[in-house]
Amino acid sequence: MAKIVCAMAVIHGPRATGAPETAAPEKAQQVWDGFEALRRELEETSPDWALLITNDHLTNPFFPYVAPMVLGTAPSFRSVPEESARLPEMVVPSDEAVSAQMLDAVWEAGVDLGYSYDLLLDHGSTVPLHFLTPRLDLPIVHIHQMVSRGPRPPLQRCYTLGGALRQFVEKRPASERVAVIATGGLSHWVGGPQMGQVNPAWDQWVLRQLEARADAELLSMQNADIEEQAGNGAHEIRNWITLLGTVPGAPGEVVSYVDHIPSWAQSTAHVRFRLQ
Amino acid sequence: MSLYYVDKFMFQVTDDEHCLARFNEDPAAVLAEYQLTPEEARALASRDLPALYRLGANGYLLLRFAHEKGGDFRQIVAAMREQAPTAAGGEA
Repeated sequence: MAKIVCAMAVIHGPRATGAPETAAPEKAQQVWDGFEALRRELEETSPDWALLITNDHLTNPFFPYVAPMVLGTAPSFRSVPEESARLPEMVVPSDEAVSAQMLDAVWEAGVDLGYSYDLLLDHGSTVPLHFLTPRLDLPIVHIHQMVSRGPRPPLQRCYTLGGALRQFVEKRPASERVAVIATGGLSHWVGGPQMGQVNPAWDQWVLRQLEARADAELLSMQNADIEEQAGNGAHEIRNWITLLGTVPGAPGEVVSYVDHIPSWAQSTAHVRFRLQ
Repeated sequence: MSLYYVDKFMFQVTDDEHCLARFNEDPAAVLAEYQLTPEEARALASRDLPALYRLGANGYLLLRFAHEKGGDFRQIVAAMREQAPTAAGGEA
């Protein structure tokens, strides 16, 4: 059976690439250092493909209907230009055969994953990949979760998806090496009077649960509480929770954390997971 | 239900240049194509960001809709805070 050779969770805020000079230099350096450490780990562990668990920011239409979790099923995906991120259009290679098999396997495991041939990528993918795979030379299998607009899937469903994804990886050829990358915030508010604020106490609580692998504690969070305490952006934590389901028991190690970069309207974190 | 149409309108008008052009030319005609309350239609026609936020419009779409006028997020947030005073935002 194939092996998950590295697992990491990173932020994907667009101003890391769109307005890097607006951050205090010592804070920005911690962000670059976090990404660089994880880029190196990704390179050194030589995965054949990476599963990227993320969300779009209502870049793809949410009408006429929504799938709470969507798998990209195409040979590659392109990104949209974003004023906030200022990245060139990316064409990100994927693996259509892996994706097709993943879809069947996850359905068999009892999770009704949606799929799309035409998934547009935004900073949820492009910002992390800009840092982690700058040559865009690693096939990326994309899952987008409905995060940016309600109703949203419960955290437990996101975790269960992770378990189904792990089961799929175990069915892959024995020599295959897989990386898992989850992207998204910690606390942040988007598009309202609180945009720019963060909640470091909430961030730190989440990071401690990742270190201790207190998954039940994280899964006990309610959507209303997440939004009130950590902002509408913090619903992205469900991407990290899906990753937890793929690597049960693997303790999180915080590689980098910055509590507040006001001009980026976020905190930042880079977490790796210690695998057996 | 009509919040859905507020969000859908903001998505379409920021996603499609043709839709945006029609809206700029004749806002009432374009808004009439969506099932909106008079309050929602007024807020969208006048790009009243604080009112839209209070009505419960989606934050990501509000940001995109606001960007049509230009300016970075701090200007947009400042405009919203005029109507809903909270703690100060802090330095860059």
